[in-house]
Amino acid sequence: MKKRVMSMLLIAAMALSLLAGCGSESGEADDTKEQKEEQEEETEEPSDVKADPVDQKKVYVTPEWVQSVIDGNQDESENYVILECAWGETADDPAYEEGHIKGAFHMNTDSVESEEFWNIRTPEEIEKLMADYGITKDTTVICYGDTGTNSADDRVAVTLLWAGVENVKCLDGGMEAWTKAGYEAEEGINEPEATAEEFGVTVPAHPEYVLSIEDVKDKLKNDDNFRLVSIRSQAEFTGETSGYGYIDRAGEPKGAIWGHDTDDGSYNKEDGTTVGIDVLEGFLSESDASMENELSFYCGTGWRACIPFLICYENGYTNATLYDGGWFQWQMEDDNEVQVGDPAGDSCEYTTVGKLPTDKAAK
Amino acid sequence: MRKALYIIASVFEIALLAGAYIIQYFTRRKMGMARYVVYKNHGWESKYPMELLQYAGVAVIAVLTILVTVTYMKHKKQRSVRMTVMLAATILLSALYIGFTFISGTDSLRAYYFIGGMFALAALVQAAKALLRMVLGRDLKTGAVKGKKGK
Repeated sequence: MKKRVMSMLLIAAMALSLLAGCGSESGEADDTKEQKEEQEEETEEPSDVKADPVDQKKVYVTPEWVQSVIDGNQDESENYVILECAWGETADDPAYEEGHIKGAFHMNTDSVESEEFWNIRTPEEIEKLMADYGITKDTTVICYGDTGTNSADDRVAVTLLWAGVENVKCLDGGMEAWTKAGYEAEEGINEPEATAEEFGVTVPAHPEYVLSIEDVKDKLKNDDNFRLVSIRSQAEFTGETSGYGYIDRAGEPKGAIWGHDTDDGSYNKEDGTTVGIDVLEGFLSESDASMENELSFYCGTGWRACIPFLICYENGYTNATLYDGGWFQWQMEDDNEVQVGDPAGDSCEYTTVGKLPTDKAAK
Repeated sequence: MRKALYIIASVFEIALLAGAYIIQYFTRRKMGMARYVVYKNHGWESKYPMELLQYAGVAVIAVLTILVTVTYMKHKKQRSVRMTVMLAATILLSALYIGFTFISGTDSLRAYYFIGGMFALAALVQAAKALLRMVLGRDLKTGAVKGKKGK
């Protein structure tokens, strides 16, 4: 009898704790405001870091430049927002709470991506998001992730540029570079203040930065100068694995070329900072492509491909786009044409999504 | 043998509730898990009439719970504490499942179908367990089976 009662109590406790966990999904810590106020009250050593100004189109910036913005030594110091970009709610992002750049807000990548294909959300949703974070087209937005290889910040940066924010930066090397440079991190949670100000331009101001799956199909068929560049691992490119636990099929859209992966550090220098356009040119030349081609970068769901896109963007190239849907959306339609294997070799097979085996999810 | 089955069923129920908690925990904290869950949600929604299945699940659980309650009421004179606890557990788990089904959804909780399924299964096992015990009469005060009143 005692055991029975105990087991009943255990079931009830687990059920209650589960419901409590469910209920807190959108909640934030109650003491957030207090923490923020306490931090604001703290007296800080005046910092006077100076760095050379950078062009508006320059995306990847140094920790020194970011600190100089915070210190009020740049034109951008007048109106800027810093975003710590990572997947998940603020409460589920311990890295943010433990230490972020002073004044940074957490940006959940789910806020910019819709669930169906993990593509950029609707213009209305993005405009509201911008307003919630106090961002207009004239706000300088500095994004950063935990490391240089993490492309969460690049994903948010591309979304902001697409929306119409004119001055978007990524801290080159991420929080790792910030810490290495010896700059301080702030603890606690900062809550953005929403603005009632108009965004200043119709969202998206730059729809041309992003290609839909229909655009890609059309260009692959009708544009000889078009190159669809896969920013995925070699194993993903050759169809050994989908690269994702939730994607069963492996392969690439027929006609894609390989542009190397960003997750393996191919787009980072030894110090973790982002490579230059020369490295991208080298990767393209391996597949007989060049910066003369019209390029569209893609990956699994649109994060990694943002890095080469931003490299092109900051170097003034206007012939580069992001194919947002990536392999995830491509493999959703059975009739889509695919290649499995290296198209430069003899063993490449051409088929359709519907005929692909479904045992290629990443283990 | 019957006792062993009862223990296995109870452990299974606890495992289902623990599993629901674990799935919810990792869906919130692991991007891969969240995307897997969302991918499955979309797959199920396109393949099956999920809303209809949910209503069917709620109806089955509700009917079973009513059946357990009626059986319990019938044995007014032969009720044991164990039967009362069984009934309470059945009602609790059924309420948990039905409440969860109507209050929550995939918009607010990505692992909604997974958790709902586990709650439904736990409620089903509990109701079946209670019903079998009551019908077979092992839990009557006298220990006699149904129809052979031991008084």
